[in-house]
Amino acid sequence: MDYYVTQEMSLMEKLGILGDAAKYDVACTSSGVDRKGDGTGIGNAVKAGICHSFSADGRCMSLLKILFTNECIYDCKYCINRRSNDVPRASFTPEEVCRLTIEFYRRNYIEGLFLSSGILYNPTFTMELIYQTVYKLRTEYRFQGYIHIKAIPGADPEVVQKAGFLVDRMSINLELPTAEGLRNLAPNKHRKSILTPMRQIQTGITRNKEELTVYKKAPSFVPAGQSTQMIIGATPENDYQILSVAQDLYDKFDLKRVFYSAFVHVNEDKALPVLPGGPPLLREHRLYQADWLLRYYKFRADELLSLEKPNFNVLLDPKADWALRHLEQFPVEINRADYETILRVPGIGVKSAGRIIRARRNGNLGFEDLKKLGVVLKRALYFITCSGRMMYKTKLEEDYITRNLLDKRQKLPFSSDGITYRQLSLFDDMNFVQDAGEGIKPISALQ
Amino acid sequence: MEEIIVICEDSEDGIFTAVYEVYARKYPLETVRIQTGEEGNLRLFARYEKIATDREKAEKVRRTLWKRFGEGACEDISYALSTQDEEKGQAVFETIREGLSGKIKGHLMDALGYCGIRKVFELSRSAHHEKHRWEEFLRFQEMDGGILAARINPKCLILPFLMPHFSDRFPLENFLIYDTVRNLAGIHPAKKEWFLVRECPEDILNSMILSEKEAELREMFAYFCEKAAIESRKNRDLQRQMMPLRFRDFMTEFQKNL
Repeated sequence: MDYYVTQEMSLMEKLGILGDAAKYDVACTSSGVDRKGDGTGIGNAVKAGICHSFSADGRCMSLLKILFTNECIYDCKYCINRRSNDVPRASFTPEEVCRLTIEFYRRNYIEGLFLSSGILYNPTFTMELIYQTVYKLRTEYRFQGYIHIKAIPGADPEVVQKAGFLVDRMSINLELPTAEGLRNLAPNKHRKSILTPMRQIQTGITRNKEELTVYKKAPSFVPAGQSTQMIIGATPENDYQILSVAQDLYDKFDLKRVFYSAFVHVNEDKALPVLPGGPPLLREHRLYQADWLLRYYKFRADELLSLEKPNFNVLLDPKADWALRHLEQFPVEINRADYETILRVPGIGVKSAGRIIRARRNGNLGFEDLKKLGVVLKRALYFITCSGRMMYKTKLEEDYITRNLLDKRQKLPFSSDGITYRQLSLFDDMNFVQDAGEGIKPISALQ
Repeated sequence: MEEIIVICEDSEDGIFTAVYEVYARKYPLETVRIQTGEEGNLRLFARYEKIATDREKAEKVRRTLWKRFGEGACEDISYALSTQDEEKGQAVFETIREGLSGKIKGHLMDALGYCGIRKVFELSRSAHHEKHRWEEFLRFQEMDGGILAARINPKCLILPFLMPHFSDRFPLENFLIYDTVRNLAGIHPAKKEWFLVRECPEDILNSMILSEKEAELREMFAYFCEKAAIESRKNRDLQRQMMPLRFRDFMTEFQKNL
């Protein structure tokens, strides 16, 4: 097999270019599979995943995230590596990728490899290159750490299948939440060609699970499941549409994760929106919060948002927002309510809810106990009772609770009516204001 | 009633010996406090008993705990004892006392309504977190001869919990992890079992020289880390929250002299 290799370039330069080109892909998790080393090679995998560093933007760096090549025949408008961009191009050889992975892994820099690629010649050829690389890494280098690869839409299903038996996770990017957005910004990609391999991997995983129950030593197929990502804010979809798409992906394609990537403006293009405030990070954050609610808290997309209220509250997280609109379901009695109900209380997470359920078997819990179990009382206290009592004299009113939740300073222990009192002092007469130039003068003089 | 304050060595064996003696000498359990290290502030109306560590007695306690409470609770107790907390001895003693009293339903460590058990749970959780952090942020350097060496400066004594993880990960490597706070070295010879060396001088690390390709690889990784950040998303506070400064002393990508 021959392909174009940029020979003059040093490995360092290639790593710079191809690491830089891969950073816009958000998935960098190494979770979902527990595998001990077999003693003959290098590496293992830990269920919870391990992050090894955090980049200056605060994102976790768990895997050696690189592109195999940033040459690409496609011209997606939002992508830095699109055909029409004049950027330095580079390609690794499978040997180089393996060596880098092993050397970094030995020093505990990384948890494994994340290999993606621009489309070189055609999808099948590119997929074949990725397959060859991970095959070499798994067999020749006996690497047993985490591998995440991209399945290239439009590639021969057989190559995708072969690769699936070597890696832990596979992902295919949905890129944009709707088919229309895809048509506008990624003219070479089609919704159907993205969903077809996604379905293929899903079927592969289901079938593999059945095989594994019959024969424990059967080779495992994508054991950490598949994920996808959507770009947020490049096209005009609202949060409700995006979250409904995510819900569908979880329901119908059994995805492990859906990632949301706030649109980063890297190309000048008239089809792209201008975002003067930078990437829509808060929106991305709210979507992740809601995504957690879908996966771990048994919420449904249409409980959190609706056609009438299609976007998330900027000020409140989706769970608090939901609770405030459903005050009829509160307060919840901590010592009696079932797990699902407790899970829906703002300030109580999956872990603390579990602890509450287990701890209350040995006696009633009070507010002091809850605090120690990890409940965030300053959020939860409006929604719960312990043995029939609220923590403070609070009102079960939407406006009142909203006001208190939004206030960073906790006023509650001092005043339950929402009014703050202050200590009088000789030096801060309420009738005077400070004026920068002329010193202190009475309010009446300003009017 | 007169309080009995049992003073023992600050180690798992020390505290387990103290627990053994409390039961063997039939002290009234409610009045006993287990304290590690020095006497500290002497208390009025209290009797002080110093107990010397006895590995055999500690082993008996360990066996009992294993039999009565199971693996999970034993692990939590071990992790709790690896912390620096002054109250850990007492918390573990109270946990054992509640557990042996037979009034707790279900798993011992689930009964978080009890003060001592909750304390052990909290300590264990913080030690677990620290261990996990070091699994993330520990960095090996390749020395001449292909030996991998790493330094750590953890708050808790987590090295014994860290070694199995890396031994499973690198079965064919000769590696060494050195706890600079406690002068403790964990050594893993290729294809063999790992072991700990106490009171190991730091010189064994200082005397080794870096391998030839080490400098280049360190530079490559630092370069990769720099490239991985997206400029318009820059958020140093978030980075520090996820990776506190105290872990960065030995991290390749934060070392100045590259």
